[in-house]
Formats: sequence, structure tokens, C-alpha cells
Amino acid sequence: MTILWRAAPCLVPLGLVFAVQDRFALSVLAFAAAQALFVAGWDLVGGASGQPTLGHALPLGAGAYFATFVAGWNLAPLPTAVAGGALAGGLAGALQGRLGARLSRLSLAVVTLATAEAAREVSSVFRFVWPGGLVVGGDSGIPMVVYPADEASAARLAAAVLVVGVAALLWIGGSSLGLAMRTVRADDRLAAASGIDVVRVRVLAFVIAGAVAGLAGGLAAAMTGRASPAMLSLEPSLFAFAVASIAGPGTIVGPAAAAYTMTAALQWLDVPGTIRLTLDAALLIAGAFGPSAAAHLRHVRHVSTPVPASSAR
Amino acid sequence: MTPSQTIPPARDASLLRVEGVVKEFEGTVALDCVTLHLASGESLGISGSNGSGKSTLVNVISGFVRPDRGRVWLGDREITRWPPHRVVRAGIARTFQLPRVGDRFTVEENLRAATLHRRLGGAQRRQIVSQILEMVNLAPLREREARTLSLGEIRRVELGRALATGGRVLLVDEPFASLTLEDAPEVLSVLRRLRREGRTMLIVAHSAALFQALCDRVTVVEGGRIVRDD
Repeated sequence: MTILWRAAPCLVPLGLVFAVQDRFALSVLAFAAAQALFVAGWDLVGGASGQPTLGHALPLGAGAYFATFVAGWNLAPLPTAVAGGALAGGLAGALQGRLGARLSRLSLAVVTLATAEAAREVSSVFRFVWPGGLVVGGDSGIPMVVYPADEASAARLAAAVLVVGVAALLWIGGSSLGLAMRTVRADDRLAAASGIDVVRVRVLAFVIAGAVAGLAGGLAAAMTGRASPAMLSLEPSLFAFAVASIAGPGTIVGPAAAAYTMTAALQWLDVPGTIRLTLDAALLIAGAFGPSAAAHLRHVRHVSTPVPASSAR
Repeated sequence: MTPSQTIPPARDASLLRVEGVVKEFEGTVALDCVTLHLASGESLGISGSNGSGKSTLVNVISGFVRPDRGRVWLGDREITRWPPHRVVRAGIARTFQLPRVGDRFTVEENLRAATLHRRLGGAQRRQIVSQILEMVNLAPLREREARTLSLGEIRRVELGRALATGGRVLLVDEPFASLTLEDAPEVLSVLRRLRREGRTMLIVAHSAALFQALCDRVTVVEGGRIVRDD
């Protein structure tokens, strides 16, 4: 019941897509819902479990490319291809989780960023012969049949997936696994002394967040009709980090709502990429001095202090 | 023969055995061939000056520090070099010299987090947490965030957390460090209760009076070696 109440703000996007008739506005809302889902996933790993990844674009891109490949080669129906993005995203998350499980927060951010950047480079170099003899790949990405075909259906599907995704993330956050994640975030030595397998919990957080990002990636690729290297760039990850830092890290709904609103506004105003990056940086700076993020960062700094050998003795 | 080598490991009766453990930190010997044993239901006090190696011993037993040499046994299972969460799951719970609690968690959440690795139903989990809250005299504070508590109350949250893991052996590291005169009796009362219940405990502390009240025997550690075992 509590989860439903906390997920209630996500019903606003669902209501909006039924109220709005304008095709451009619907496409903006559809993209905003996919972006909000992506950020909600980031918040599980970065906020709830305290692993500030800067490479969350990797599972997003993995989901998008997976959906385009499956759809392009007619391996499965389009909805299945989109949903399959979650599997690819989960696997990408598992890779990042394994790599970063024993690292400090700063090293984790750098390593996850490196994985996404490496994937972006690879995706921009390789080209493929697509069914029909078309050469695809490289900077222009891989095309996909647009799904759903009209803006209203796309916006409704994206809003529904957002509601279900956020409700699922809230349920996880309130479950035993969520408590384990928060304990790991609070203090990994405390978590270990409580019998919690810190590495396993950290990897699981990455897998779940990666699956959510992969689903958002598959959805975004289907709605825009393309998976491209831009999906693997720093901007989406930085946006998620920045938005979560000002909207209550670890709350899931806060970052999702803020991402939805901001993405819709930026899309509506057609703000160029360079200005978005500047805005993300400004949000991060504001977040670092804001009450919720400042408390979070102070906490992080406190528990990151290594125990000196003398006191360990 | 060094004093530590004179203590025979009682292989059959001991629940916890530490055999010839050596640990160095950057050339400084923290533990030098330490051997001790703890029988089921026994309460052992570990005394010694600052830097004598008491807490390192607790860290080695609980898996937070890997020994350079030597072995640690729990019953008939060797747990040397096991990661801390596995040691907890095997049955050794601990508290820390500098108390560690989730300061933004409620008292109840701190205890519930320590039960997560146990296969319990929701109702059973709540019941266990409630029982432990009563045991450590924190039931009225169950909804309070840990950061609002006094140090004595935080020490009791830590004891509760250790009990909630379901451990058979309790390692209590400096439970009275920095406590005020108002807080210390509450912690002492909880530890006395645990002793009366026959809990197997290893308590690290300084005061001889406390050992008299809480322990069946006392082992003195100096310079990383056991120098006395009464």
C-alpha cells in the first residue's frame, strides 16, 4: 500500500498522455518517460546502494542496440525486442558491477565511465551489413522500425512502463534487498558485520539498475527508430547523476519526477547538447551544496575514511 | 617456549579456537603466535594496554583482517581467511571499538538488517527483532534514528545487531569505551544478562572490575603476545 502511495506521482505522466492531443507534445512526453525510467534505475544503484556510476549509459546503449539487432534480424516481435533490452542492460550492469564491486566510489565512477566510453568508441567504429544489404553502424547508428507507430501509443506505452518500472524499483527499495543496499551504502564494514555479502549486493544493484536502463534504452530506440553511439555517451549518465543529486538520492520517485520534468522541458525548448552538459554540471554543483545531497556526500565522506592501522590494532 | 605457546588448544571442548595466529602491519608485529580457545557458554575477557593487539585479534577472528599465519576454528570448521559476512553466517558476531551503526536507520532497521542473511519468515523476523530489542532495553526507542541516540544506546544497538545475526559466539570490542557514568550501567546490565543466559562471549576491555563481573577467565595480551591466561 505504501509503495502504491509513493508511486502515485508517476500516475501524472500516465494521466498527461491521455489528456494531451498534440503529436509533438506526446513525443516529448514519451521520451521524457523513457529518460525518467533510466534515471530511476540510476538512483537504485547510485542513490540507494551508494555506487555513483558515471557509466549508466552502457546498459542504456546495450538495451538499445540489443533491441535494434533483434528487431532488425526479425528474431522476435518488436515488443519482445524492446523488453529484451532489459536482459542486455542487466548483463551490461553485471559486468560493471563485477568490475566495480571492490572499488572506492571515485574509482567506481571512473571505471564505469571507461566501460561506457569504450562501448561508445566500439559502436562508432564498427559497421554491419543489415538485412537487405544496407550497411549500418558507425556514428549514425543502427535503424529500427519505429514502435509503436503513432505518438499517442508510444507516449502511453512509455508512461505505463515508467509507472510499472518505478513501482518495481520502489518495491525493491523497501524489500530486504533494499535494506541490504542501504546498509552497504551506510557502511560496508557494518554491512559485513551484519552478515551481508557486500559484493553480491553491489553487483545485484548494478544488474537491476542495468535491466531498467536497458529497458529504457530499448524503448528509446524503438520510439526514435534508431540506436546510436550518442546513447552511450557521458551526457545521459551525467544527467542521471546530476538530477538524482538534487532530487533526493535513493528516493527513486524524486529523481524520476525531476528527470521527467526536466527532460520534457529541455525537449520542448529544443536545448542543444552543449547547453545540456553545462546544465548538468551546474546541477551537480548545486546538488553538492544542496541540503539532501550535501548530507549524502558528508555521509559518504565519513564512511569512506579508512581505519588507521593503529586503531585497527 | 613463549607464554602463548604454553596454552594448549582444547580441541574437543572448544567452540572457538585460535591457533598460532601471526599478523604484522608494515613491519610492526600486532599478533605474535597467539593461541587461545573459548568453550561453549564461556565468557573470556581479553585485557591489555592500548596497541597490544586486542582489537587485531577480534578483527582476525571476525574476518576483517587476514592473518599472515595461523588458523581460526569455529567448532570443527576452519574459518581462517573467510570474508567477514561468511564468518557472521557461520556464527561469530561482533561489535566494534568505534561503534558502527546505520546512523540514518531506525534502531529496528539496524537490527533487521542483521537478520537478512537468516532464512526467516516476516513474522518470525519481526518477533526476533522485538525479542532482542527487549533484551537490550531498546524497545521504547525502536522507531528512533540511531543518530539521535546517546553513545550508550548506540552500544546497545550494536549489541542488539550482533545478537540479531544469530551468532553463537559474541566478540565484544571495548563495550565501555567513551561511555558516560549514566550510560555504562545499562550496557553492563545487558552484558550481565547475556552472561547469565550462557552466551559464549569474548570481551575486550581494560577494567579488571568489569572482567570480574562479566568473565569466567581473563587473558592478557601485550605486544601481540598472550602473557597471562587465568
